[in-house]
Amino acid sequence: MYPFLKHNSMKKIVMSLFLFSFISIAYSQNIEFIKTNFPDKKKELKTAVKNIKEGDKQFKDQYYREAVDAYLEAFNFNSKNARLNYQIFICYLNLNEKGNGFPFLERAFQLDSIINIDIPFYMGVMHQYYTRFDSALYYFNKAQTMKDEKIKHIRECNTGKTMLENEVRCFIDNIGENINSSYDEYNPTITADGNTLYFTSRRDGKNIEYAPDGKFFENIYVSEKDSNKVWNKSQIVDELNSKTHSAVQGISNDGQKIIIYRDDKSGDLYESKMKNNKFQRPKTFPSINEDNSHEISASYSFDGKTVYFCSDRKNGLGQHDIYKVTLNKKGKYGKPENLGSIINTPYEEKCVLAHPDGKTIYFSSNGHDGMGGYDIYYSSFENGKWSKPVNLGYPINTPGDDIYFTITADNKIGYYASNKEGGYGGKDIYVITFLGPEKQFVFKTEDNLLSDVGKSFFDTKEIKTIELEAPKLTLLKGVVVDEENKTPLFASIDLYDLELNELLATFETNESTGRFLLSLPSGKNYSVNVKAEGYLFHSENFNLPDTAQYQEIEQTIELKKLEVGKEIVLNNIFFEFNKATLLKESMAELEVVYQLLVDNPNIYVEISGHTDNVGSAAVNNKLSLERAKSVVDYLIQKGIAKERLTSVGYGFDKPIAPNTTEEGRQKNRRTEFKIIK
Amino acid sequence: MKKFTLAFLLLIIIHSLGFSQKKDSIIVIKSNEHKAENFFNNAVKSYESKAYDDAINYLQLSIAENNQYPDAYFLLSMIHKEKGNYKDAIHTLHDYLLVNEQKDTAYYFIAEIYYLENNLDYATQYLNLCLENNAKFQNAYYFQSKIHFEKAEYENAIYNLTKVLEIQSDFAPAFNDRGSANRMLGNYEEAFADYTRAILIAKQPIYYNNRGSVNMKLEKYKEAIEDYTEALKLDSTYYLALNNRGIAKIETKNYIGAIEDFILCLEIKNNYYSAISNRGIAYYKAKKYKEAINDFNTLIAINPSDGNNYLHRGNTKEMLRDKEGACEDWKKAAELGVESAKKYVTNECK
Repeated sequence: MYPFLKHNSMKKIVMSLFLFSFISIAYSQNIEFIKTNFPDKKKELKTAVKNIKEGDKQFKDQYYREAVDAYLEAFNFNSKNARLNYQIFICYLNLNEKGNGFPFLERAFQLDSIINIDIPFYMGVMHQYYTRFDSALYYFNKAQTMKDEKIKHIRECNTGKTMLENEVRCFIDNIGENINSSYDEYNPTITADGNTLYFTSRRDGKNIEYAPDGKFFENIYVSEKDSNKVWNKSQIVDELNSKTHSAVQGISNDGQKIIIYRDDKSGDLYESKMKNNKFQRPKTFPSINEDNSHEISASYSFDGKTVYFCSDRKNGLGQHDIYKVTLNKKGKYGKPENLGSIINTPYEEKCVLAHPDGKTIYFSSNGHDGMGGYDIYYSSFENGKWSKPVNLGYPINTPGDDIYFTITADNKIGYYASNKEGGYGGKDIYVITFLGPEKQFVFKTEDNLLSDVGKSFFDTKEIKTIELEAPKLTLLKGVVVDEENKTPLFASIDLYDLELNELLATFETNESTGRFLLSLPSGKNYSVNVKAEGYLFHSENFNLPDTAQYQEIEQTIELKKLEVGKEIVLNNIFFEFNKATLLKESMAELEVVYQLLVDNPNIYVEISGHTDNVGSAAVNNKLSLERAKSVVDYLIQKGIAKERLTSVGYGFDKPIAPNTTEEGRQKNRRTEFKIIK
Repeated sequence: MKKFTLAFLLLIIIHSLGFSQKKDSIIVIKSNEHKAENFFNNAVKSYESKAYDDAINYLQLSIAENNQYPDAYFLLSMIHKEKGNYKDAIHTLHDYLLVNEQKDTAYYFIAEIYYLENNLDYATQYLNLCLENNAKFQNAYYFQSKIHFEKAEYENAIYNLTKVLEIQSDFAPAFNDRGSANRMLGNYEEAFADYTRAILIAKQPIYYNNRGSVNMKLEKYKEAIEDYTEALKLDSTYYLALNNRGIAKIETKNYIGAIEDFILCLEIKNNYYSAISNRGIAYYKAKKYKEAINDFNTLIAINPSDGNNYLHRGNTKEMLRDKEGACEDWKKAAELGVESAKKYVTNECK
């Protein structure tokens, strides 16, 4: 039909345009707001003209909601005015309600396609928005204005075509009515175990007032998963909200600290810590907030020592950039550091999320190679630099704004907000269930290979897709209780890097529940020391090589009272093989033991060595005694009175596990600490 | 191979008749030789009318009159072969070798009989003897290449086919077969060149189809589709090309086009297993999961021991959010030896 066109897709577009222009002829009667067009409706015309003038005034002052309301009044009188339709579209565009605006743009185009020189560009924008990339490219190539933006959009359309062809396998479901309402819900923020969800809503409620944009002010809500893994009915978190905007931004892995946004001054971030199961009054983040700049979106690193945040402060690389700020050894935040040009672009970077794996961040950007609007990306910090951001792919990313993304520690479930059709109203929170790479399919091909002999053979082929790499971390969660009465304890948990003999972070259990949650990224030998006042400490060792895969460990840690007769295993005391020489990895734990003896000068202790049953009793007794002596010698050398310390070698006389397995033997090779006086 | 042998046999018979006529020109013919020839002529007539037993009788009489009569031995061996008496055929061909100077033909046919007996090593040895006697024996090289192909000795096949082409440079089947040998070795560029040479000499559907399949290997899916389409222009009932084109369309993400090809393929060849399987995959890709399940159900009913069908149905059930059903199918596929299914069971069916 169109022999001058080579490609079918182009033919389709041109055919639709021909059809379109035919319809346009039928409808293209631009009707101006003049008396001659409405001889019998002079009064109504006068009102409509007044509405347009009011709309223009509001438009000029950038009050687009008010402008569109006024324009729509005039539109109800005369819907066939190209300029009015175009103005309504521009208002919706500025209100970030492109979908509502598109019918007006189309009508403007039909009535008078040259009413504004930008119309082809915006036609391209809207076709891109609806993932009609070929049509969008057609309009962008026609557009004479906005050349720089046009180039960006053309690139996005081409990227979008590729992304559509390589769809990410996932299910996207509305999270449901226990979370979403007919108002906007967004900023889903989850704890590392994925069981507690904080989010922001602009819903109606007690004492909630209207914001200047005509919607209710933002408030923070929370929901928890019940035993059936269903989200409970959400509750407002009164203690975090204010009379104006309060929006959740980030939460620590254990849910004990939260960062929120408030729109006071130029828009700042606040932090609140949980006490007695309730968040305290949010305090401003002085090390992050800067006068005259907008700070928004923040996330804690796995150890809580670093906060990633977004700001439009001066000397950035574009509009909002991603920064990080880290606690120094004195426990104070240092100077914010821009993440650099691999992450930040001359455009916007927003909604940063630090993954519990300790190296990956997720963020939204409209400056990287996406399919339009904000897309969600991830990047990992490895070998001293950030990797090139990777687009999460379609359908998670769309040509619209895809922001407010969060993901569980195991990378299997994500949450984000969208105002897509079919929700409860406004923006809703959706759940993304990642299905992993495409499953294998085996095609059956058959060929007659030889000219006169048929020979069949089969082939297999796997389809390439983007796969979120399985995180390499251990999620350690549980509860700290009193050994005897099992009541939850408020305890501090020190996390050490044994290799570097360095305290990485200190966490606290929930005061009411005694619960804790730690993220341990693979690649370190960790010591976890749990301490509570009046109790002996408890230590655990987690030696996680780089290759250690994702795992969740649930533990109940029972602390023993600081009383005569109580004993604990020192799980982080290590010796050279078959010798009594202490390894450097033991230093952190030895320091904890030393501090305990300093803090409790009246106690006398027995340090005992134990072995497995490999070898003779004589050899094992000697080795265990020498090892106990090594510990005692270290403590004496540190300044503890030698009469307070007794060393004993029990050999393999007191096993705590069967010696029939390597795991059991490993448990039996230990050093113990016992209060004897 | 049978077709090839029959054609060759006819040539030999014509050759034999010609040889007889030559003998007619001899002025002095001994009486027993004359009788032998008469018996031989009767044998030929009986052979042509497929009265093999009569032909054998005449040939035995002919040989009794003249035990130096090569044509009689030769025809007798061919009849034994026709009747499936391979040992007698070989024995007779050895007699023929004793009285005939032109030994290459005998070796060739002995090789062919061993081939029919599936004794490829002996067949190869006699073909070697044939070629030692006549280094220009094109058919022997060609036959040798087929044996090498069957033994998956593709490099040897290429050597022999190259010899064929040295003797006859426009022999399209040899280019096709050498292309296939190259393809089996993973020499896709060479295979592509050979198939292209075959096509330049003779536009045959099989050559286009094979080049299409090499283009698939080279991940040149659009070119593959063009080749399969050319094959189908030459033979619209060439269902293999339709099946293959459907797969190429899946690779270019034209799932609807692929489904159309598989449907057409199945109209030509009802219940064609490969096409039903591939259509199921195409339905899956087009997100028509229920139709995909129907196809995989059909295949499971036809062949419940094909683990891939359970794998595919499990994959489809996953997309229908029936994880339990998917796991059941993956477990079944794993039991039937599908490695990927074992992985899915381990990772996703806890």
